[in-house]
Amino acid sequence: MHHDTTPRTLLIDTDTASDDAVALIMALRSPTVQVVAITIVAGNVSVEQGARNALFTAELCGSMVPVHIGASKPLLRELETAEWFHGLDGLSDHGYAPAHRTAETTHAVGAILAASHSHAGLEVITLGPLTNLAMALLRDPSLATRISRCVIMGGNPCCEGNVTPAAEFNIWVDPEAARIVFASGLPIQMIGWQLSRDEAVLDAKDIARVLALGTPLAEFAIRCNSTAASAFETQTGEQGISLPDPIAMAVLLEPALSLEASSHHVQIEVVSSLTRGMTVVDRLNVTSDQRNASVWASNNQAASKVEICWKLDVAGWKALLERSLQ
Amino acid sequence: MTTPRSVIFDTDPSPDDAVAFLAALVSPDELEVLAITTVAGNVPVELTTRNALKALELARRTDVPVYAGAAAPLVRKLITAEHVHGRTGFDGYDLPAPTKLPQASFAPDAIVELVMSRPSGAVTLCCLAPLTNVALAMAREPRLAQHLAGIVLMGGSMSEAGNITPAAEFNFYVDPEAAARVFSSGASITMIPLDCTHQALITDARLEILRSAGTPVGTAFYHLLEFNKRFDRSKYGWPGGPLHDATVTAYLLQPNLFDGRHVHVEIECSSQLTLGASVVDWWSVAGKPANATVLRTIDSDGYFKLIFDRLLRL
Repeated sequence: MHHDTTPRTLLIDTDTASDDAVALIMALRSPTVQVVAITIVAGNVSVEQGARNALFTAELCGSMVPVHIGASKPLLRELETAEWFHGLDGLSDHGYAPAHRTAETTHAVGAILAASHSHAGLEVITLGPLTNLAMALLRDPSLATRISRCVIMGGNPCCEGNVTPAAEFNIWVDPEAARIVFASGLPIQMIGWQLSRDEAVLDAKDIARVLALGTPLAEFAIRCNSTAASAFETQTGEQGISLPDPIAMAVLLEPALSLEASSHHVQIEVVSSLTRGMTVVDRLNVTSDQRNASVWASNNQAASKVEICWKLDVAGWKALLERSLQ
Repeated sequence: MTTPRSVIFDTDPSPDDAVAFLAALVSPDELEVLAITTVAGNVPVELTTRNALKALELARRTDVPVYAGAAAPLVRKLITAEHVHGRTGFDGYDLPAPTKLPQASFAPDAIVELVMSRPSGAVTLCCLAPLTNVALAMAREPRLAQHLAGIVLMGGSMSEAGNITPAAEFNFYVDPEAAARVFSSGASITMIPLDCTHQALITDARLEILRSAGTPVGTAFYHLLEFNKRFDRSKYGWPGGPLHDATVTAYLLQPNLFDGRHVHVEIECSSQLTLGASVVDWWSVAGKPANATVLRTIDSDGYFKLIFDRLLRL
């Protein structure tokens, strides 16, 4: 995927709220990648708030990475945010002071295209709705050929959703954008929300261990997720902090953390309100059947199969998180 | 000793359907089979009816009435599954042509008559096929859903990928409108999805139990299920094909083999991509009232022991 002699370059597209912030820290502190840009999309919070949160987080890491504001709403639909999960400011409303610098003047879509030209082998990770990436692909479809790897935190492969029974939040917010991205030919690795459940949740012990690191970053990572922790308990009855975006970032940084994966055709549901945003995975490879041709043939011709991670190295993910916060 | 529960099997017989109703027929202490009703599904209704009659003659139970039902789904063109079950739905073993004919009544009418002529809560519908007949019966008799003890059905999927499209299980995909109608009927529904049945694989060791029994029924089903298995093995690389439909009978006989949750289920009818998907609200995120018990896990060793033990009583 990359050569040890050339540094890996990464662009992060994010709707920066609490778990995104932790993912940003992991990338900005990582010795294995150089983050060339952060692009902001509306999702968890408004695009302006997302940009403020990303700038604040970058400053905490001592990073001057450029931050570019992107789409303020989905391609076709009204924006649905998740302040109930992340707090009004997306960081659990602790009154963090604004960063000292502001976002760049270039729009996120332009920044994505520019980065794809100036950094051969660019990797992209998306932590929010796929509006920016879809817009970039519509403007220049050849973008798909210039990205060496696209990790998407989103979707509910062969499992229940978190925002509706059929869909995960990031895909559900802008299903048309997701459909465009998944059909684009990008080499996609999909990190579904279910990987951040069960043992992957930071439990009381994990949280204590992180706090014991005693660094400002560790303190921030836990504290900015306080609203998410209580929302998670309300939703699932389980205690802890579920961190989908940092898990996606962990797999981006250390691909070996994906213990089980397989590649399948995937399409995104955009027609029905019941199944809006469902990530439909051809896990049993039935789409080659002639009877499925009218719905699947053109997708299967244009799109690459999506690599879906089914199992995460939980201990490895938590160890990487702790290293990032030291 | 409790009185046996009265059941009607609504079915599109391929071999796993036949195992389901034959295992019920040899369980008179627990189950009284009032009738077999057939519908188009795995193969056209003429063949599913013929297969039901053949299976009953093999078991020497021609006393059980068979009613032929809908030849096509409510709204859509029939889609069949010859790719799994062969042209007849019973490929793999030549059973003699049936000597008996089906009853004269249309299956949905027979369901209404059999259920409504008995006290409320007396009859359980066991549904192994697209739900066309049941939806038609509910349309004919609006009180039917409330009059039933319940419906136990094999269909849908939750975390398993679909087996006919990526999003849908075969029975619901063939007639999604019928499934939607049944799930919104208010009937007490127990749904056994692919999540369960894909844990219940007919391995060689399990098949061997049928072969080594040396009985006509054991030999016939050894060959029929062996034929079935070829598809799943070559297509998915599984060690055997799932024995889908007999899970319904197993649930009636021994519900503690299963585990599930009472939740809201809705059937997708509007999108081609997700047509027939059963949207199960496992975490109650949509806040709609529960309308079905969805079984998600099965003790597959216990299941095969129970079902093959019953089947080999024949």
